[in-house]
Amino acid sequence: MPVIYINIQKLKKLIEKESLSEDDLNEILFSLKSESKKIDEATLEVEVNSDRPDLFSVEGIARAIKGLTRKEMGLFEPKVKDSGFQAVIGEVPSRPYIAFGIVKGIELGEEGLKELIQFQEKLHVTVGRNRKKVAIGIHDLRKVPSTNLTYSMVSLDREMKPLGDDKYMKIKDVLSNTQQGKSYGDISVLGGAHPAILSDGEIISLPPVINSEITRLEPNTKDLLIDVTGTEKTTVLKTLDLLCSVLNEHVGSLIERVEVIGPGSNDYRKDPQLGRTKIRLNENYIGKILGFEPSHEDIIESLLRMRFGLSEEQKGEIEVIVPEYRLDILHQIDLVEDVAMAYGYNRIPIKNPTFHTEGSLLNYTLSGKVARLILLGLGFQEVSSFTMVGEEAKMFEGENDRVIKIKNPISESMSFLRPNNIVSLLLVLRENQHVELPLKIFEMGDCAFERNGRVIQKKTIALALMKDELSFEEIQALVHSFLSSIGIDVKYRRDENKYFISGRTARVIANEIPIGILGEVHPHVLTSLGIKYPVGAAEIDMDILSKMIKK
Amino acid sequence: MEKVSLSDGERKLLSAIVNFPNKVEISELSRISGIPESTVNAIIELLKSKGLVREEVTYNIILELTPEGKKALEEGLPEEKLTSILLSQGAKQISELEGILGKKELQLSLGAARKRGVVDIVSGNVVLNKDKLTEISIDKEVLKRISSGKELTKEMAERVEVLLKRGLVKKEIKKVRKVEAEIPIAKKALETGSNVIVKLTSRDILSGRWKESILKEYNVELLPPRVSPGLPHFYMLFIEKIKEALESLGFAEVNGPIIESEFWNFDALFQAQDHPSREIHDTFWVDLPDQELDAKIEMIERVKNIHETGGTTGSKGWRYRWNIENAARLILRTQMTAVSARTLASNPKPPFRFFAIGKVFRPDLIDSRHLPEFYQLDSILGSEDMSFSMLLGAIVEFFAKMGLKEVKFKPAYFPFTEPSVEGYVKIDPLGWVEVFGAGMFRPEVLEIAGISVPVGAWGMGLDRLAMALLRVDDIRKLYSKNIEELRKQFAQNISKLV
Repeated sequence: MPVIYINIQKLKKLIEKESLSEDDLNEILFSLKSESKKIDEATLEVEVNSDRPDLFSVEGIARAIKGLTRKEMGLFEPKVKDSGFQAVIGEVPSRPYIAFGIVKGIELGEEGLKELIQFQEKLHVTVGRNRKKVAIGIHDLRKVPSTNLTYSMVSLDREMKPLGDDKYMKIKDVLSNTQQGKSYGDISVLGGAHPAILSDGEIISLPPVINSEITRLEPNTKDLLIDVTGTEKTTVLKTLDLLCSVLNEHVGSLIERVEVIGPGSNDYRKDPQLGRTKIRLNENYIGKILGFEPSHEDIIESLLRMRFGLSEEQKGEIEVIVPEYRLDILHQIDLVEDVAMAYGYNRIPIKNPTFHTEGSLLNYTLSGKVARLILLGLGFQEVSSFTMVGEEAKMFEGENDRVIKIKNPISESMSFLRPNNIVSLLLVLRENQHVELPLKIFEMGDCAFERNGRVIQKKTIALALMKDELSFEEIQALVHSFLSSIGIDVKYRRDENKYFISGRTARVIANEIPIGILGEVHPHVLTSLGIKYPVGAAEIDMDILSKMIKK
Repeated sequence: MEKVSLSDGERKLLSAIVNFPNKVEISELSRISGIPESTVNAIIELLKSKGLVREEVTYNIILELTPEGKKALEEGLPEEKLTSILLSQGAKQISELEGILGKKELQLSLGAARKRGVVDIVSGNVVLNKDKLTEISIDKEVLKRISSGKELTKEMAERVEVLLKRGLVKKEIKKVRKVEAEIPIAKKALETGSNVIVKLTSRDILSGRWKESILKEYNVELLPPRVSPGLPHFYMLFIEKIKEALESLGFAEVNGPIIESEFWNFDALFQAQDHPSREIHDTFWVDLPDQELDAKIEMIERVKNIHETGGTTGSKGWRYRWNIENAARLILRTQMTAVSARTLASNPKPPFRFFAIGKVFRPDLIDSRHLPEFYQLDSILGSEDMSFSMLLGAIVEFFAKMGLKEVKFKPAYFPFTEPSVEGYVKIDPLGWVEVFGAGMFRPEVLEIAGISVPVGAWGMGLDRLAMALLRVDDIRKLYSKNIEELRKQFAQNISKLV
């Protein structure tokens, strides 16, 4: 979940309530799915949910709090006029969509500038999918060279002045030499060209990588030009709506529209569009989902406190206006949750389910209990290991069986799936060579391998015996005792594999069905794992065993 | 009973042992007596069986540097590179450092440095704690001492565990055997060769010879040799207890595969294909040839429609182009909700209650609170009259069964449920502990599965719950390879497990 830092004074100013106590503030944020804690006198750390990007900024949080505390309910009305700015859009195949907006009259200051950049960054990471889907550029409007903007692909040999640098540089050098270029330079570059926003022939932004030094934001910046670029049109437009609307929370601020023309001959828009949608909310539906029926008045009040608008309100069905910054509302179910949140989760009655169903456990669980009972009687200690193991797994590959590799492991010792549970037991034994011997251990769990291109997944039970001196019959006797205690008739058939000693390996057969394997672990396996004592081991397929126990 | 008769060899060796004031090593004995060590061993066994000597086996731990350890000593520890960058250039973003050091190197050095508190990660920035830099030099001093065979101070010895885990140091265990004489009996045997019974036998009783012999007295106040029973794994017992609680509340157990398609893990749960949790930092992918997607064609169609346009649910959908190749890719399941998705799609007859418990996998680095694989519970309830209120009721009922009477709810976000809730339970002496997530499945999820009744879902990581209830302070202890540790945990938690 995104964590943001906001200035407490600024928040209090925005919600026009100087006296709000810390506890009350925590309580309100809690009911907005957020957790907060004061980290110093001036700063509040807020952990917000990723589904509410409008809460990634102090302005958005203030708007929501004003609703919940009934300071200001219902829709927020953005203040909008035209700007006289015009943007011409060219063909940009690698990043086709762009939207522009202007917000004027913001008091930034040092704090505000930091918070604005934080807002932008959180949007990049979440909605923007690390700038791939959407990226945002914010400029000091007064430094933009002219009211005419263009968006097009430009050659990598063209020069710009990247943010934080005082001299002009070729785009290709910006991509390969700056930190931002290294991180985001490969997202939209295509055939020797890169998308760029120009004004008066000057590159002011290289989306999604970096802005230009020319339009750098300063603490005293008052008017913002915002560009949003991306690969998905709706998200680009909605992200601009969100930014403009949320920043418009500042008293005295004003949104100004930019004319956006092209790339098609009929493409003409005024951004931001600040588009609102209407969703019909059925009161019976609320009752059915929540399991109780809040009164009509409670529902209406909850919606208004969550800053929705109402266009039509009759008993039974309400037409709700969803504001431009609520990107998370897809369906009336999302409104049901908002109603419940404003109503208060702690006021929701808790009801015991009235319907009857029969409980049951899987055969695997039941036979696991039986197996554990008997193995404990035979003196085995139960262990529980990771399913992911290291390269040692390869020693257990069969003629047709391949171990499964993890493409993005976190460490070498967890880079394969275990092909059986014997490997896990050996890893446990290795760590216990100082314990008094003999040592008997077992584990039940998942393992997987690839056989002729198919994935085989199994639940097995593996046993191992480690002692100073070992004979094949000792491990065989334990396996035999285990299985015959469950009432299974067992036979043994000579077998061969890579990890047991030849002539000391047997397949375990029950009712003519192979159910497992047993043997003495080969010294080459023991030495390569660093085990100094002989080990006998066995593995039984639990899926087959379960069925046999059931019979 | 046997007449204590001593062979020449036995007499010779026993006299030698009796003359030693302290315990003597077998090798030393062999040297002094001039008897080969293998013969000494055999004679000691005989003397032991006659109760004339006592053997003590001890294990000495010898520390040595591994090749990596030697390298670190010569070229510096990997985290030194990191700290020197931070020292000269100040705090840095993880991504920047990745650029400089490379991903693997960074992970290694970051892990090591964080463990010692030398750096912190503060909102994605790696920050150096200058006053902790000495930690690294102490680690190096430990390596130096191990390398030159010098003694470690107590503080240094405590640091070795971490260096062992990092593979810089290895531990060898050497077995040392010593013997000492049972002085009065041994002397008597040497003098008179009189009858002493150590281990009473059936023959002694039947023949009546016990009457003419001395029954050796034991020191009954000594501690006995250790005998270890086979014990169940404490965490596995805990999981079994949860399964039984759920069974008694009417839940039927189900399961599913650990290698899962993205389809069942994400798409069937209406998680958009570009959702952040479907990225490399949150999901493990496995290296396997393409497998056919194991879902019905109609369901795949529904997933596509609902993701793109919301289908017939009235939802707007995610408004993007849904891609079947991405859905077919194989991963390690990241959530047990994948099993619930499969269960729902199997057309269960309402009303129903199901639960699944199994391992889930996420690429988290290991520390005392995080593991890349852990156990999770997911459970669903469906009925004509199922509701959010009843879901909360079902959860309260479950925790009451586990002995936890106080539950608190908070609004939350999950991609597949709405309304969603997170919950805390009160666990003494910890207070409120966040343990579960829940919610009503979204209409999009139900339409994908082809279910017409409301379904509530709830789930939680069981490792965290076990840690709180069993008071395990480090998540790694739930998967300890150390048998002694497992025995200890069992003993500590037995009252809560049976």
